[in-house]
Amino acid sequence: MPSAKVRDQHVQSFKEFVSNLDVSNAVKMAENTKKEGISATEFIDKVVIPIVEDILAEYRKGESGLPGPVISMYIAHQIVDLFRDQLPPFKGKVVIGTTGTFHDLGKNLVKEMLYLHNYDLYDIHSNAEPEDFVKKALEVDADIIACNCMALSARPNTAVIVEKMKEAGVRNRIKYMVGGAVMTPEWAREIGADGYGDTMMDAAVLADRFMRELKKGE
Amino acid sequence: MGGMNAVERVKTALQLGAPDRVPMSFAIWPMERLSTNEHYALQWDAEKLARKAISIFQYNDYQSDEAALSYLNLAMVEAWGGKIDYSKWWPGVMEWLIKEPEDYGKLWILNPYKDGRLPILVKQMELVSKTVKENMFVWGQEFSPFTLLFHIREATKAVIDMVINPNLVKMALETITESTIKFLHALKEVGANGFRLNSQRWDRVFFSKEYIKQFDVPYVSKILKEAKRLGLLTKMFVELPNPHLDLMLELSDLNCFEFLDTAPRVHTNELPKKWKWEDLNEEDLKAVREKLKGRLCLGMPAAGRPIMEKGTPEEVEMAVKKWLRLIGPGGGLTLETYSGAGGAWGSKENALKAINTVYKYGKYPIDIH
Repeated sequence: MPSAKVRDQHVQSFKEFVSNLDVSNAVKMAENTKKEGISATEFIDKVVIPIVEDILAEYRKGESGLPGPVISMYIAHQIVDLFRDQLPPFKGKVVIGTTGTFHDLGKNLVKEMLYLHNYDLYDIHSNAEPEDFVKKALEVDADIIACNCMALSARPNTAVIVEKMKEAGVRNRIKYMVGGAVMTPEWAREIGADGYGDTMMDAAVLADRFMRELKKGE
Repeated sequence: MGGMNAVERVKTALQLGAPDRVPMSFAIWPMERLSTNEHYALQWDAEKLARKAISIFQYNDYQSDEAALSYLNLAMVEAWGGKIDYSKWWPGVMEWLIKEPEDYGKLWILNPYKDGRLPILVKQMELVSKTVKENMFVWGQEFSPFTLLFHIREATKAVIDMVINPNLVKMALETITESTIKFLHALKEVGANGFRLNSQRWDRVFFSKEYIKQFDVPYVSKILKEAKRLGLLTKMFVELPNPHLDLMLELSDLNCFEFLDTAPRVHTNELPKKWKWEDLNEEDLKAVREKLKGRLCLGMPAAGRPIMEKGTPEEVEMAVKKWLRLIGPGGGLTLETYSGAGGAWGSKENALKAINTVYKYGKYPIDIH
């Protein structure tokens, strides 16, 4: 069993590789750390998520550009796959997509953030119609629908999703979150969404809250 | 100065002078309907495309001073074999052209007289230019290479490539740039007055200056330089607020910075973050105007979206007069209706009010109290 000191050194190196956006060395260091017996929970919850959050915070403050969040999430995805054999079952199923335009960069990052928080993602990509969200949710028996919207002209689509959920009789069974450049908490309330996320972290917090609420309602 | 035709008027403003009055155009937004749901069936018919464009930029007795063709048209992407869905309001990429990094090498320098629908767009330019002659300043346009990159490669993967395979990305950007240059040569040959590069805000606000300097500026500079060499005036469309205005000021071959809207929330923003979907903030606009003064012509809406969309004609007139008073004096300004007469956003009544207000109060020297 390697010493805690060696493991700490590996963790420190891993953090530095992620900060430097050095994908291959970061993944190699995670592999080494796993071999030394670190648990999935310890590594993902106490190392990967905090460093991703730090990078996102820097980005939001305008201290770094988009490559930081994108590459750190790309690394995080590989770490989750690496530790998949040790992870508990997925917390829930999320159907995610962008409606109205093809701008789905933010949606992709939210998707990765939810994957990092152990959600099973079903991506219906960009330019998705309201009915696509509900159809996919029914098909995979989803717990959550997450809709990204980047154009004001497409914003009504986010309200239509609620209507489609009602029509399909799943409004009480599936939670609905919205986010994206033209979304606001007020709009989310107005259309009857269950939550609005301003950031990727918000999406993960909302998803966890939704799952707790769904379990209570069972 | 009086009696200018539209081409003289726009040229004077683009060269930072004061024409007979502020050029007033029906914006670019109506053209999006040529490339999306309403008219995508016309894409293969140059004559119908030209007629439609002219009908949009001429409305009863009103005539736009500028016309920008092919907005939101992904003809270059299609020419490489990309599949675009024009059936919705915004064109969607049905299948990414670059699926793996090694696919970047599959792009080639496009021939605007042969590949895909590019010959149709060249023909459209020829027909429009011949018809409107000196009565309209006609812009050819294309997305900037950096923006086009995000139409051929899924955005997240493109960003990963920039970090892991920067040379492959740069090779692709070089090919896109050369293709754009060939396209602008063809457009110039058939009568374009200027070339407009459209760089979407999502691409620019997300990246640090270092990335913009590496992956955007060199290719934009190359296109602008060639346009200028050919005698075309140049314009770049970039949304505000934008953290990279300083880089635009370094583009020595650029004539005009144009924006049509305030952007929604952005996080890397040198301008006040209170700019959401609000009307243009007076202080911010003055700051931008000051920054560009003596260097770049400013192209912008005559009134902001909220007023054009929800205001009364009287409120539109007040808003237009306010901008004219604030940034009109001295020249170097072109204005646009937000949506065009009968366009997608705002009422026709409001668009016509904005046009009439510029005609009445936008005569130089501007003197509004």
